[in-house]
Amino acid sequence: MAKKPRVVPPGVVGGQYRPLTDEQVERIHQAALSILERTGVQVEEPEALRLFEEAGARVDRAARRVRLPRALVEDAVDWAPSRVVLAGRDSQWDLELEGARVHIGTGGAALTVLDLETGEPRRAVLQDVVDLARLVDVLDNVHFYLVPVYPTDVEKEVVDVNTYYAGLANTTKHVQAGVYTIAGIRDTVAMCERIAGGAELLRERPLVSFITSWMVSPLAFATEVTTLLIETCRQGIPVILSAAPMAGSTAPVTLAGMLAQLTAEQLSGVVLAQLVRRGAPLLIGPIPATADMRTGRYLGGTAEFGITNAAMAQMAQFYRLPIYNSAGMTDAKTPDIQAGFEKAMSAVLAALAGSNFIHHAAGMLENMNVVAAEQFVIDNDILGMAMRAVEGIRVDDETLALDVIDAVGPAGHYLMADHTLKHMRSEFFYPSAVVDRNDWDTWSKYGSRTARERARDIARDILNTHYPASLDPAVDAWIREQFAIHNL
Amino acid sequence: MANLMEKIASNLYDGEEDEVAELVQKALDQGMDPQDVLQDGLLAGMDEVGKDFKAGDLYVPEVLIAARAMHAGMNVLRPFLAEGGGTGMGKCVVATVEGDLHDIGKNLVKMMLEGAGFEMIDLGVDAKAETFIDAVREHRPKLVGMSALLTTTMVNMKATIEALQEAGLRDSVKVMVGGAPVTAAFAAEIGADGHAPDAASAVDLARALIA
Repeated sequence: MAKKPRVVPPGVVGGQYRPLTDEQVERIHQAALSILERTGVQVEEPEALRLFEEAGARVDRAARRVRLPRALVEDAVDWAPSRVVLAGRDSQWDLELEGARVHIGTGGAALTVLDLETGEPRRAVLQDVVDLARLVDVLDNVHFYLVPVYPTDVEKEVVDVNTYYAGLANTTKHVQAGVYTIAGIRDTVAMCERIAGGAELLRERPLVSFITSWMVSPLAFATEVTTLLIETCRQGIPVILSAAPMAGSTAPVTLAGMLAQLTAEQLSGVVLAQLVRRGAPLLIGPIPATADMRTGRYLGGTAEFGITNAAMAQMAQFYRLPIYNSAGMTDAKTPDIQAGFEKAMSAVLAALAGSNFIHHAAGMLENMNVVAAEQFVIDNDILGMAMRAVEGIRVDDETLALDVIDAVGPAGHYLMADHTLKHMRSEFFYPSAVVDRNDWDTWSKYGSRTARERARDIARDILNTHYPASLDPAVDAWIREQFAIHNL
Repeated sequence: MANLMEKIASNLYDGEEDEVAELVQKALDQGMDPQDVLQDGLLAGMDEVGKDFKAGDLYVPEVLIAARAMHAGMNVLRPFLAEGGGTGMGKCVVATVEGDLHDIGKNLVKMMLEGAGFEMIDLGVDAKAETFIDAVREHRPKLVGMSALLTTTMVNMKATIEALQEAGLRDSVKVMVGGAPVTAAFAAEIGADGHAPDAASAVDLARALIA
C-alpha cells in the first residue's frame, strides 16, 4: 500500500488576509444601502417588478427603476441561509459553505480549448465537458467541477441537461454550470432528482447548483436571466448570483466605489431571491475585476483582482452569506510564467481571505476565454499551495516538539525521529510531478523538460486511465430515455 | 491663424469640448476655410490622440473625451462643410445583437469610431436582424458593427449576416464583429469581413474596410 501525502482538506478555515478594516466593511455596507435607496436598480422582468412592489420597494415602472428600502434589504439578508451545502455524488466531496471555509475549483464557460496534443486553440465541445470532468475528478485540490467550457456542438434547447449530465456522469464532485433556459433548468432538476434518489434528497444534498448572471453592471437586471434566477429559487436548488463589473468601465475606477456598487448589486439579487422564496439557498456571486484602461478589455490577472475578491469575501462574512467569487485567473494565453504568477497571486489572496467557493481557479487562460488540460494540472499544485497557506501553522505541544528537540540534542539530527515520520506527510505540501525539485544535472539528464511538458504527461496519463464511478446503469438508462442526451 | 488651429488641436487633445466648439466658431468667424478647420484643427488633434494612445501614453477615457470634443467641434462645423456635411468617412451602424444586453464594448467602439470621424448610428442592445436591416436600408452605411458578450448570443451575429444576405444588402456593407468571446476565426466562419479584439483596433479595422 503506497503511502500518500496528506491533502489539505476542502473547507479549511481562512480569513487571515483582510484587506478591509471592520470600519471599511461597515462603510461599504452603508454605501451599498445608499446606492439601493438613492440610485436603485433597473428591472424590466414583470415577476421581479411585482415582487419588489409588493414588498414595499419604490418602483417607478415608467423609468423601470426599483429603489430598495434598507429594512427590506436587511430582512432579506437575514432570510437567506448562512450555510449552504453543495454535494458531490461521492459525499466525500460535499462542500459546506459558511463563514470563512475555503473551497476552490474550476470556472466557466470558455469557448476555446488549447488542444492537449497540438497546443493549438480549437472550439470547445461536449467531449471536453466529459474529459475535463474526468481530469478534475483526480485533482485533489480542485474541490468542485464548475463546467469550464460551453459545448459549441450542442443546441441551446438541450445544452443545460447535456452539460450537467456530462459533468455528473464523469466526476463525483459537485457540478455547477450556467443555465440557459427554463426548460433546461426543469429537465436538469428532474434528472438530478433521479440521480439523488428523490426530490427531497436532492434538496438536502444538492448535487448541482445553477449560475444565473442576472446582473449587467452597473445596476441593471438582465430580463431573461432574471426569469432563470426566479425559476431556480422556486426549484429550491442553490442559485449563484453572478455579477462581474469592471472598475473603470462598468463600475467606478476606484476599488472602494466598485465594491460598494457590487455589494449593492448583490444585495438586490439577495432581495429578489428571498422574495421569490424565503430561505432560498443562494451564494452571492461577486466577481470584481478591472478594465484595461489602455484598451477597455476585461482583465483577470491583476493584483487588484486578488485584493477585491478578497474584500468581497469579507463583505460576505459580514452579511453571513456564503460567497462564490473568483481567483486564479490570468490574462496569459499559454501556461507560461505570466500565467503562473498571476494565478498564484490572486488564488492565495482570495483563499487567505476565507472565500467559500473560489471559481475560475483551475484550467483557465486568457482570463475566462480558454482552457487547457495541462493548466488544470498545474493549477492543482498552485491551489494546493494556497490551501496549505490557508491551513497555516499549528502551534501546540505536539508541534513545538520540545521532547524531540531535547532527545535529539545539540548537533544531532531529526531524520529518523518518530516525530518526523509521524508528521512529515502532513506538515508539508507535496506538489505533483509538475514541480521539479531536482538539481540541474538530474533535470537535464531527464530531458530538461518544462513544467508545461510535465503537466501534459500527467494530463495524458489521467485521461488515458481514469474513469470515475459511473452513474447507476438503470438511472443512466432512464436519463437517456427521458432527455435528448447526445451520444459521444 | 496657425495658432488658432493648434489651439483647437490641443484643446481637443485635452477633451475640452466647450473650448473646441468656441474655437471652431471663432475660426469660422474669422473667415477660415471650414475644410482647413477640419483637417488642421480637429483631425490634427485626433491624430495626435491616436498616436499617443497607440504608444500607451493615453488611456481609453482620454480618447473618449477627445472624441466627444471632436464631436462638439463637428456640430459647429458640419453646416459649413460641403457634401452632406461629414468628414467623408461615412456612416456606421452598430448594436449589441439579439438576446444580449451588454453594451460597454459596443459603446466604446461607437465613441472611438465617432472620434475617427465616422457618423455612428447606434441601434442599442438586443438588436434583432430586422432592426439591422431596417437601419441599413434607411441610413445606407458603409459599415455594420455587431457586438456580443455571451456565448449563447454570438450565434445571432451569423443569423444577422444571413438576414442581410437574404435582404440583398450584404454586399452594400462591410460587417465587423467584436466582443470578449469573439475571435477572428469565428468572424471568418460566420462570414464577417473583419474582427477587432478591442475598440482601438476597431478603428484601424474600420478604416481598412472602407479604404
